[in-house]
Amino acid sequence: MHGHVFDFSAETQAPANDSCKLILDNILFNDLLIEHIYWYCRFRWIVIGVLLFFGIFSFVDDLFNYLNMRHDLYWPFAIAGVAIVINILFKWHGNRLRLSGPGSSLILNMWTQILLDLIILTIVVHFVGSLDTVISFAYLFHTVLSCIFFSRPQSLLVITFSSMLFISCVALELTGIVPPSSIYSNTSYIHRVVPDLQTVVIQISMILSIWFVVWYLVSYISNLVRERDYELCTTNQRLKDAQEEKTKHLLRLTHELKAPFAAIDANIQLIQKGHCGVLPFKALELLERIAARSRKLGDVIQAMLQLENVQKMTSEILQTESLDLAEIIKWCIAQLHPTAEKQGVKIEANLHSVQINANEDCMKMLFSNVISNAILYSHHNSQVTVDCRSRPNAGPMACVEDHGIGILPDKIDKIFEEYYRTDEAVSHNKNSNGLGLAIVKHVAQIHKLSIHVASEPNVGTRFEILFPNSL
Amino acid sequence: MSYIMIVDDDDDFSFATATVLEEAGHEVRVESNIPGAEASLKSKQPDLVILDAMFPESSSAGFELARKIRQSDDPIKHVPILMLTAVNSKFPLGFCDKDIDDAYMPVEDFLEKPVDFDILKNRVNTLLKNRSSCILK
Repeated sequence: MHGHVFDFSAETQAPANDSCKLILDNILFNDLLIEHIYWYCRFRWIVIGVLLFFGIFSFVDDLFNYLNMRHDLYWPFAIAGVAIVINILFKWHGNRLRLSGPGSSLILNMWTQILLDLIILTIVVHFVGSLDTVISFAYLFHTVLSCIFFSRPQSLLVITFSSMLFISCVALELTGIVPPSSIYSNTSYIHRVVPDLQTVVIQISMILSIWFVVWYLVSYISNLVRERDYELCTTNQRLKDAQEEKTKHLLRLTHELKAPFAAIDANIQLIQKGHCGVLPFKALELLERIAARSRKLGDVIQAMLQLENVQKMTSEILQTESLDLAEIIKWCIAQLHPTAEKQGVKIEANLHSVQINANEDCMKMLFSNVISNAILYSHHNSQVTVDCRSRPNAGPMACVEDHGIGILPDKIDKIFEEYYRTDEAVSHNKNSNGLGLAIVKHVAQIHKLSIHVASEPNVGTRFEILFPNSL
Repeated sequence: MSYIMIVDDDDDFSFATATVLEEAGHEVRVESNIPGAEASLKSKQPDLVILDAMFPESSSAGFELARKIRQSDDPIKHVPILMLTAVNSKFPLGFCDKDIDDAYMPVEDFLEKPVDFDILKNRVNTLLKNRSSCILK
């Protein structure tokens, strides 16, 4: 088919509805908790690596002497060993909980990890030098993480516990219960020259003040972000609810509109088939007109419903199966045979069996609409050809070609719009509702099909439906 | 002659369907709501149930009744059900996933309204014939 061409490709897709995975207030969903447990374990491997690296380098005497640091340190290996055991245990426990763990066990796992981490960190702080170095700020890692993962009261609990551990560490060192330690080889602290109490109090106060300021700022910002997430989540939920409500309303409306036509049609059939006695020919003729009009109204409502249905579908939720395209088209042709006979149109089918992965009902809708249009807009006594086949290095294709009224070049790009009908189409066939190709467009979009339309006025129209290679 | 129960809230439609089936030689009982249908099913077991999908109280009340029938302990659980609906029940609009799941849908056959009565009579005969052959086995 030559003439004017319009290509429709399924480029734009409505995104699937993301499931909301946000922290709502203090409630962590189980999968999120598991994710955090694994994250902590991964982070701990990095810390273990750093400890081992530091321990090994402490045996390079020249380097550590140059840095004025103590060498031949064994505590990094001991702490790393404990951390390795803990990490393996927590990972194993996390894996078990992932399969069948209650939410409370997950929370217990994570809080135990945090508490043990803080205790291990306190031991590291002691060996590195609690007041002699800035290692005490390593507690901020857990503070910041707890602000992100937990609520403000929970993160406050973490920083309070950290403060208590740090103060206890310093107190034990100052009272001599635990001998002071430092990574520096030449420091007054290591030589047990204990600073006066006022200096220690001021130093600890300054450190804790900085911690709490950091906690306040980070928890405040995290709270703001969390509240924004919560708002987004609830707005998204409200939108989904509104959409659900709308579709339910449409379903009910469609039923309420279509059911009366079904009842009218049923009662007309009673009269037409002689269940109520014999009627004069004129009355039967009028009855047939009423029936035809009733059917048309029913069809319009059906098309509206189909359109709403396919608009609601997305590629992600679409249920597909392996289908023989030839069988689908054969079914559609058989359904449309009475229409073709009535229009005086012959359907020539050249169908090769070819497998597609698609939704059967959607495919029937698509081809019924395309073939029905070809029949309805054909000239009397003309022929509609339908074929389907595979393509080398490409997905299967189907073609529907008519010898009918065609489409004017300036109108061809509008034919997939809802309720759009050209003047020529209306004067040729009054019964169409302008929804058929809108349905075709949405079915093509969710199946990622391309449709190529070529048309010449008063010569005919050719629709090529191209399936992607993966289908 | 078989005993057929029509459960449909549309009186005009059920009247026409009952007329056609009665003239075909069947005994027909029409129920316009679910509680009435449940009571009738207990009092006399039909050979076939023609069931509407949507009722005023619920969009899927027909599916729920069909499930109730299938899950009951009585011999009623084997009664064939022909479901009629004015909307295309294969699509998810307004129905729950299980309602449109072919594997789960507890009905033997579906017909979309408006129904051609010749087709309806054929479907009814087929379902009754299948039921008879099942009982003989």
